[in-house]
Amino acid sequence: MRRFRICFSKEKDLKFISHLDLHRAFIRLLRRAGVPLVYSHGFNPQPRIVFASPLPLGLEGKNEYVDVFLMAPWKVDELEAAIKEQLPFGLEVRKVEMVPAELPSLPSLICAALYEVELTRVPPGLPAAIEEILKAKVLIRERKVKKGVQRQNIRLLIYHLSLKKEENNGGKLFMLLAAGSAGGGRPGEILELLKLEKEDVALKIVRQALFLRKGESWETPEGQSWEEYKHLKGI
Amino acid sequence: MDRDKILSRIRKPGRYLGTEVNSIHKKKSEVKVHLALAFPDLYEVAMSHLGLKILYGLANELPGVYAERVFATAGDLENILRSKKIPLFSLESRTPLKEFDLVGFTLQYELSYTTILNMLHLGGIPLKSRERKGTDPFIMGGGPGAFNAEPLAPFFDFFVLGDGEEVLVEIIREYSRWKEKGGKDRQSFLEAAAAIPGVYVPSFYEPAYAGESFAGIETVRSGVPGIVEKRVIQDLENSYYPVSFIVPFVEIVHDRAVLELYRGCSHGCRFCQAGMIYRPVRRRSVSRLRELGREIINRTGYEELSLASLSSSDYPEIEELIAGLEEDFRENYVKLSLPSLRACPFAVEITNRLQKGKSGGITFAPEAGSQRLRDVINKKVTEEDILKAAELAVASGRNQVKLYFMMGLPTEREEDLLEMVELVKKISGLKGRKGGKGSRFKVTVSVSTFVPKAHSPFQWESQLEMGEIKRRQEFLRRHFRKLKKVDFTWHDAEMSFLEAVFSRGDRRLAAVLERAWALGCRMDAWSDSFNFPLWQQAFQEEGIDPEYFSGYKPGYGDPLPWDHISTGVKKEFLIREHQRALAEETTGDCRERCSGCGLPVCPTRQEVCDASF
Repeated sequence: MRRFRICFSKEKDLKFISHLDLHRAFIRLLRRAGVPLVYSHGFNPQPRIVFASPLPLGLEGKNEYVDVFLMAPWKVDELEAAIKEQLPFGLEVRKVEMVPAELPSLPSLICAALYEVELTRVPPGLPAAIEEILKAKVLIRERKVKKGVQRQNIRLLIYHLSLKKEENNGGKLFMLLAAGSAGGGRPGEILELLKLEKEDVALKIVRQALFLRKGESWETPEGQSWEEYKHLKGI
Repeated sequence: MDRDKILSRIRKPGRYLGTEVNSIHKKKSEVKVHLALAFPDLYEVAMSHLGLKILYGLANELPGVYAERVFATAGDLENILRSKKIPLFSLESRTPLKEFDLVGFTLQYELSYTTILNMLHLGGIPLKSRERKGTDPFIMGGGPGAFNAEPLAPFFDFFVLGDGEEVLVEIIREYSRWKEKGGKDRQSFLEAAAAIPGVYVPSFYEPAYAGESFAGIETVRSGVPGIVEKRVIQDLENSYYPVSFIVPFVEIVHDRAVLELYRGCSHGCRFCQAGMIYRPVRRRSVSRLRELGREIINRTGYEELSLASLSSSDYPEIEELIAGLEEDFRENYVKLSLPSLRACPFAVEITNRLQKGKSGGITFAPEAGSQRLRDVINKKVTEEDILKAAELAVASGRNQVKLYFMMGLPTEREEDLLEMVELVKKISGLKGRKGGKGSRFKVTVSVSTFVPKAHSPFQWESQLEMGEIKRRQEFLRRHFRKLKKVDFTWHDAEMSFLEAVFSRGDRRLAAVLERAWALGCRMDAWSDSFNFPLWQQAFQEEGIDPEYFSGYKPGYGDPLPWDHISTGVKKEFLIREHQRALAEETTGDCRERCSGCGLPVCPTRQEVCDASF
């Protein structure tokens, strides 16, 4: 059995489909490509493909990850070539690499995600609002859970929040939020906390990167540290 | 307002993308004939329809022809389109509907008709055929509803009867010729279309009435056929079949690849219009089906393949086919499914083989609760069959049995309804798989109301009066309530009533249809949009009594509003079947013995004849 990690982007039209839709589309794309997937046993065999973190509907994802398990000894370039022939419009493959099959599951490693929000204009109170959030220790939000509603301290989910002004009066908000099985931060909630009106936001919320924990900080699945990343992107 | 902005403001935007895998995108500058295939319902329903997939694939293979999809939009998008004055557009190239050359609607059910008008209006196309001029598209309609399309007559330029695979190509060719000659005189195109066998141009026919009754229809143009005969693809084996089905991103009603095993049905159930309009029975060979199956799975990546037809367990080589497909997909984990099962043990055995898990549900359609009534409608399954089949199903682990029945069938008596309840009770008392959770299963009973359909032996019957429908539904509710673990659902009486009004309606109903749409009716098949009071208002304002249409019982010699449309089946046969129904006599399967329906050409009859020599 071989395990491959595919880094892909979900953009353009595909931002309008849900994570479940994407999952289904991926399975079908791999089947069209003739990829010999490993299937589970039982009544309803499912191919073994594991996404790093679901991307909410409406967001583009630039560097998303999925692990696929094959039951035949394909090589990286074989898999990459086969997949590239079958990509739906809006899905691009950035990188394919083989990873050891015994590694822990991808979703269990992911713990943060970087979101970039394009703003058409920067309201004058915005920098102060950001300061307030970062100063606060507790920010309670009600979230729907299976049995009703739960009050959570979402301040714990905000690892980084900054604004980068642009020449055209607009700006970019960068948010590094918790992600993964322990519960994730939601960009929409942060925008609400910042009291940003819909017209301020250029409707583009992009998940730029996913991060794994590295000591007290984070690094991308490819090993780039959070510090390096920030520096490169001008955050 | 830009596309992304609009898509971000509506529910399930994935339905409106038009860029799904295998969707076709052509350069409009290279297109000579631009055709819109319109389904008058939402994406989830439209994309589950096989006919649309066949015509989409077929038309797009013709050089210079571009076929795109246009579906009804949900309310939120419709509001945006109206307020921003954006016309309804196609999915692939986002071309406004009014800019197409030809628009083909499929007429699948009566409650979609106001949606058709709504789509025409949203698309910027004049509702009436006679109001269209210049570059307005020609509007054509096909599918089962075309067999009695009189209520839609003023809104369509022409209708297409029967199998579309050949006639659509001919229509496109004729259109192309007309366009090359200048494309200005619309009448000359309609005349050319009328000369194509299977095409019915309603403006060339004038109906007459005697008081309340329909009194006949006459041609008002020379050279036009008195009776329009439907088209039949005799050689289904070699006819076009699509392999590159569009793969939707979002969930739709039937999200799987489909193999059409055969067309037509030989059982001759008397309430069933499909059984008459899709005759004769012609089928594809096992080898052809396997070839198609492999191609389809390769090109779509679908995980499930449905073996479709009107009665799939009756495909003669079904076991061989399944064995062959299982062999083809041994490595591939393709789930085979068999919808439309007869309620008999053989069918259950077959389907048990398919679903190795044998969990999930199984569906049977006994239609009537008593043997007497089943004989009247010619549904040839016995109670023994049904019970054995149900028993086999639940013993192998099924957790749900769904049963479809009809009430209001001709000659129905209270005893028949009581026997329906009794049959359900027996089924719910069957032993499930031994041990633990497996032995309990749910029973769902769905009872719809009989609607007499044109071209069926019951076209001379009426629907129950609405008060009586409700009374019998209450009767059934009371009785089913006493049965534990049985879920009873029924079809809305007002919806069934409207279906009956339109299914045997005539051209006088067109005015009501338009009025109902103008008052705000649309998506009538969806219970959250259906607005019966508006319909009542429409009938009242147009001075038409709907109960006349649902309740009339013509004599055998009376003219019917669909007499000028032929399914190939002779009226004498339908009369004979109707009389046999009243005498409670069944008629056998015509694959075993020809029942003399009168079709001019029938491969099944030929086989039966050849076999008996």
